[in-house]
Amino acid sequence: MNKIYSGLGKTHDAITDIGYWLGVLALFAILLMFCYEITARYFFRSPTQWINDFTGYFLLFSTFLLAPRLTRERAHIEITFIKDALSDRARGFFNSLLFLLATIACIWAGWYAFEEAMRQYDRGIRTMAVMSVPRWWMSAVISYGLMSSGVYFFRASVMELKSSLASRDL
Amino acid sequence: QANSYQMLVPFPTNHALNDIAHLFVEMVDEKFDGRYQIRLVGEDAIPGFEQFDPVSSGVFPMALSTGPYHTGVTGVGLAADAIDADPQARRESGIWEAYQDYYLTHNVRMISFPSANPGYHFMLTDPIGDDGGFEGRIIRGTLTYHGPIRAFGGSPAVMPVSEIYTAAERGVIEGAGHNIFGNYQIGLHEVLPYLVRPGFGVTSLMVVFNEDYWAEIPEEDQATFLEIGRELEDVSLAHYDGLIAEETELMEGVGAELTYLGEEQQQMLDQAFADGLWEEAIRISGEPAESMRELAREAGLTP
Amino acid sequence: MEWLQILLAGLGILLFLFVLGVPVFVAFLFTNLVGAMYFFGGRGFSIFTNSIYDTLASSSLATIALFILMGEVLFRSGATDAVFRSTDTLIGRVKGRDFVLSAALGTIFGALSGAAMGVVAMLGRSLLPQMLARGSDRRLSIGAILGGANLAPIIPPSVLIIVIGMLANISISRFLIAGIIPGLIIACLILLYTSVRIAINPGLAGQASQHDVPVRSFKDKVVAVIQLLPFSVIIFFVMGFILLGIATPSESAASGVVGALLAAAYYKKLSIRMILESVQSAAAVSAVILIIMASSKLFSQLLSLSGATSAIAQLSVATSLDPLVMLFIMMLIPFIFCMFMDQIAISIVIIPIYAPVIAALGFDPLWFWVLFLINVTIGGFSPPFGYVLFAFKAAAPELKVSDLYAAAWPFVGVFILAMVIIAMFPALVTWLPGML
Ligand code: NA
Ligand code: NA
Repeated sequence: MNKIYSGLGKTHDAITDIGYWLGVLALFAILLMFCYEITARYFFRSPTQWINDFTGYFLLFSTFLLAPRLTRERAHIEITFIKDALSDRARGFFNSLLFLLATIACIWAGWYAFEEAMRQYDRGIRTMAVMSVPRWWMSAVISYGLMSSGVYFFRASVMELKSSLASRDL
Repeated sequence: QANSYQMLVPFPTNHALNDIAHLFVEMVDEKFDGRYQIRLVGEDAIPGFEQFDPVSSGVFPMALSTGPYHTGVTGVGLAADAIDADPQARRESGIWEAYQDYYLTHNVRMISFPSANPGYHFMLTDPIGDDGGFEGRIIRGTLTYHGPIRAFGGSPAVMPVSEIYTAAERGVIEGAGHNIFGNYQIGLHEVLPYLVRPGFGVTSLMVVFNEDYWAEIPEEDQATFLEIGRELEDVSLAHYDGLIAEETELMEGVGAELTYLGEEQQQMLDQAFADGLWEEAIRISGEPAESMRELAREAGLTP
Repeated sequence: MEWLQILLAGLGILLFLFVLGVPVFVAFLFTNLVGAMYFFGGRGFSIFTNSIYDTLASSSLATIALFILMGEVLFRSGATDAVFRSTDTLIGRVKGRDFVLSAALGTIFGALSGAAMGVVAMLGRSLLPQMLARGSDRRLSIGAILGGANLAPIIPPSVLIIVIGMLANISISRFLIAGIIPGLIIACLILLYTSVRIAINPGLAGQASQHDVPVRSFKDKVVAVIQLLPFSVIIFFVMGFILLGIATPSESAASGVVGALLAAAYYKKLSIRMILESVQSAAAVSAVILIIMASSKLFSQLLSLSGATSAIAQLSVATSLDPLVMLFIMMLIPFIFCMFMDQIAISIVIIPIYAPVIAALGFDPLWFWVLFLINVTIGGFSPPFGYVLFAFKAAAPELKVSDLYAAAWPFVGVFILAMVIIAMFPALVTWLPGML
């Protein structure tokens, strides 16, 4: 059983890393697109019609592709007074609970985004833009980022619980 | 007891297009003696571009809406801006009914098709020159404006609404397409003081109900709503005529000037605008948009 | 007063989750999920998801990521060493010179960087150890660096100005220019405060800080100024591009990155590896901020829908309080919230509520939003919660949180004093943009 879990975990991590690098590339692409737009408009007086839309799409992709890895690294911003005031073991249990709540919120939100992606796919809804693309692409990426973050929160919750149970001192 | 409805409105609170929603609410109040209470819900709650779906799926019972905001779902509404504004002509030609029927396929019932005529104009940093058009100028505009901008030798630039003012102020753009009214409040004339005449196109609005909500309204009340819708169409044209005149005067009072397209360009204007919209409508929606154009052409309501 | 109950319930859940220590974006997600259920039932998934999409899929927001990238490139470019050395050379043998240095560096990096986080991390790694080694007072040193670093959001370029300007719908180029004088005023007030403290208690300045420094010749100083010139390239690539109409304020972040890359090339620090590391770091930092913005937007939408937003606006106009009292209240609310919450999330919630109120009260928008900007900037380093505090702690992990908190308060006071001065003399804000 443990092997299956660790295999699943490794796959999850690998997918997350791929998403991370795509997200980093997307930010770099945004930089290039803006530079291209400035050049095309100011020096050649022929602005593009697609860059305004695509920088937006890429920003959304970048953010939600990066989100799972940030969750794994616990890089998201939080307030820590209460946790800081607790003993190690109590903090473990407390963290485990909070991570469980975060799991629920992220999976719930990710599920909403998935439902919306399905609906948009069924109805053929596209982005309202000069360069429109299918809307479900956006909702699907949002769903991926939230769901995968939810799974990381769940993994963190289990880990915190295990280590707190294992430790004896209060 | 009073029935209360939330009505989505896709424009910022201080936008002149909100007037139609306020007029509608007043008329409903008066005609129904307060039996129907309508509360407006603005784009700060649901962004304008996102309002069509919630009405179509019944999250909200009704909306004031406009075709260009439906292009994620359908292009047919977009093309309404290229159809003659005369309410009577729209009804007699069958266009009105065709639009109602088409939107019913999205579970949305149009009860009023009010508009403002002309709906759009360009505002420039410098007056129209000898070329009679936009030769070499960079003009900000949504898809709606791309047809005329290109036809007059300009380059359309796409950027967020929030950046128009600054971009015009610093000369990143040399003009912008905009509704022909509602410029004064947002101060666009301060940075784009040349108002291009003639204006063009029609700002077509729709008062729509979610069909399921509509079905629950008693028949005689439905009739009253339709009557209000019809009146609104007449009131609307007059209202915006007055508003355009009033605003132009206000802007001229603080230094704005009218500037005129060349003769050749004036003749091309309506065609370029209509072609742009219909092409886009057909690209998005295909057959329904094609037959709508045919119908409107037969009636002589679109170029 | 249904809206009041909704408002209190929403804020209640949100604050409770914050205090528990749930990640900020998750707290917003959870509150908004509950809100979407309450308002829309099972059909809320659509509005919930689209709120995230509408917030993020925006070329204007990409600016935030690019300004952060500009800072990352700048701080990896070796440029910081040059600024550091030159500024060090230019400041003569004055008493408490390390404090002068921190205010000067804050101003210069403020003009080069769009956010305080990067500046505070950089000064925390470089200037703080030097100050402590020379025996400067610990808390005064920490505070001076915090104060100096927080000039970055006020002196252009600035991520916060872009965010607030977009939300408030005012001319962003004017807003950017409007930040210059207030930024310099705050820099002067920081100098004044540290000087007074040192005058009262000379021990705070440390023993070695004055006579350790070699006397610099005029030639040294000229060289130092020349060494600073490459940075004017960055300023030109941002503010110059905006003012010349080459780039929109959003796009100027991208040209700013190019400027920073050029500066790095000048100092021979440009490499693929450096670019890659910068982009990685910027992507991570901005994703952390952007996901909060994306998750929090629905909160303000729901407040609008509940009628709370317009009710508050109407109430505040109807109270017919003295405008000055109104101004005080309108500044106090975000100040208190920003102590505990994310400044950008607060801006997203509050600005749409305020915009109609300031129009009704007849306040000059530029003046009001500059005051708001300083207020929200304070929120970034007012204890207990603030990105700048976290970034400082991350850069200097040996710092005790209690020291950090105690050090921050006097400089919160300095920034508030600046707000009072600017509130009394609106021309300090409006004069320079009026010259455009
Ligand atoms: Na700055
Ligand atoms: Na704070």
